[in-house]
Amino acid sequence: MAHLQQTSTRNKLLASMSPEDFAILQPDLEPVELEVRKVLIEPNKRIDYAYFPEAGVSSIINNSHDGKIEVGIIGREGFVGIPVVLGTDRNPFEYFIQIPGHGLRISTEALNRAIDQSRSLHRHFLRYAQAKSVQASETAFANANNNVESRLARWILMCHDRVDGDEIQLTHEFMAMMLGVRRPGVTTALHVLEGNGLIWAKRSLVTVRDREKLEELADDAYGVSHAEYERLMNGGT
Amino acid sequence: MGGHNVPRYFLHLRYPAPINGYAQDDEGDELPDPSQLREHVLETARDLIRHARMSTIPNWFVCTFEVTDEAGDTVLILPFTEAVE
Repeated sequence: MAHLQQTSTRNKLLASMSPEDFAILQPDLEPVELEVRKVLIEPNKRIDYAYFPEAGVSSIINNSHDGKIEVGIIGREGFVGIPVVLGTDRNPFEYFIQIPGHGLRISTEALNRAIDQSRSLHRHFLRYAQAKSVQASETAFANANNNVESRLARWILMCHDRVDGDEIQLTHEFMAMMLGVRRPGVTTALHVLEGNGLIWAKRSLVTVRDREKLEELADDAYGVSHAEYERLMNGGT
Repeated sequence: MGGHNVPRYFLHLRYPAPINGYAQDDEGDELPDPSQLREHVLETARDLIRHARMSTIPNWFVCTFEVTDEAGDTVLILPFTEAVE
């Protein structure tokens, strides 16, 4: 992409790296549509591309014989391809698009060349990998410690952080998969959150109404990873 | 979401609440074999009892599924107590 400017990308990871590091990646970045349910990485298959979302949200999914459960979420704050910068070309989980959007992609070969070339670029990706690892630990904490209402609030907040505006378009069936509970559990929790004025829930549309109250309900299962991302990626030490 | 001939059932949840303890299901589940409906609803109730820890519902056994078909007719009322029998 000859005309891609760092200042024009909406992916925060690309926007926050040094101009020199961005210049290394720039010739190999190509625009990509991120359609709903598009699979970006298949479990235990070679990773061909890393993806930098500019809009839209991707889920990391653990596929077991009991069904699918979400174990991570990636939007424009990050990139899909951590295994590559950690030195491997595959991983056991599926990465797919849950909220459609668009972004930029780079081949695994080009990404590997770039991080070989620049220590600071590699460090930038490793710091994001650390932020993502904190998010995964926080998800484990939430699943063990928090009730469905609280986990739903956390999950709505994490989506809200990654979309424009206050609307999140997803079916209850899908949210049930994300949270690892049966659909009536999600429907009831949405009903409760709406009754308490935190959201509006209309069929497959959730509208955030009171973010502060959602944060209260999500409690300490939400804020830690958010703060750690800010510290690591936006000028921390 | 599937063919037109597969019947769809909506699992509304009645739960104890000071106001409006009724979570309406707008999505429903497709069940190719309607004779499996009761078993499907029982299994859903069992899964919720086992896995869904909710502050709104400290005790699932006081809840009831009210199941309707696509015409809106109630076809099954299943108290959660029946899930352990």
